[in-house]
Amino acid sequence: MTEQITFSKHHLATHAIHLAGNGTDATGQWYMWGTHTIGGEAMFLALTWDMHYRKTGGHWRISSQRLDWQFLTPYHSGWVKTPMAV
Amino acid sequence: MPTLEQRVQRLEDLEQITGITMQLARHFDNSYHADGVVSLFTDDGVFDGGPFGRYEGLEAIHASSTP
Repeated sequence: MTEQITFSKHHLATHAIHLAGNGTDATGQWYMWGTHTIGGEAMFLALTWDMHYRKTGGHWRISSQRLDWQFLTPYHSGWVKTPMAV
Repeated sequence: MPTLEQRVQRLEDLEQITGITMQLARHFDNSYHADGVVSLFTDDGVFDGGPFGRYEGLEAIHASSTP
């Protein structure tokens, strides 16, 4: 899909991060609001980033990222009419 | 009771995790800067885009985010 995205703004908010007791694992959930141009069309995106993190060599890294989609909709249609334009 | 050092470590962990997540968003917005994206993942990292595919490992993730 990325080759069709000619413009993107990822807005992250309302996050919750949970550190595991071992000091090297963590999870996080982030709301993501996107205002993108995809295939020449203005699109709104709403999803949750479901993240797993691991600390290796003293640095935190992402061990997995899962996109939990709420909607991907053309600006001129809207998420009620077209919740998932895949 | 956690020690002061443990409490500070916890704050640093949270700050670094927030930082790399923001960096990821910025790499995406920088024309899907694939080198930047994979620099934030572990070697065995997984990206699961749902209907847009699942990619395991840095090579696969790099290829997925190359325009």
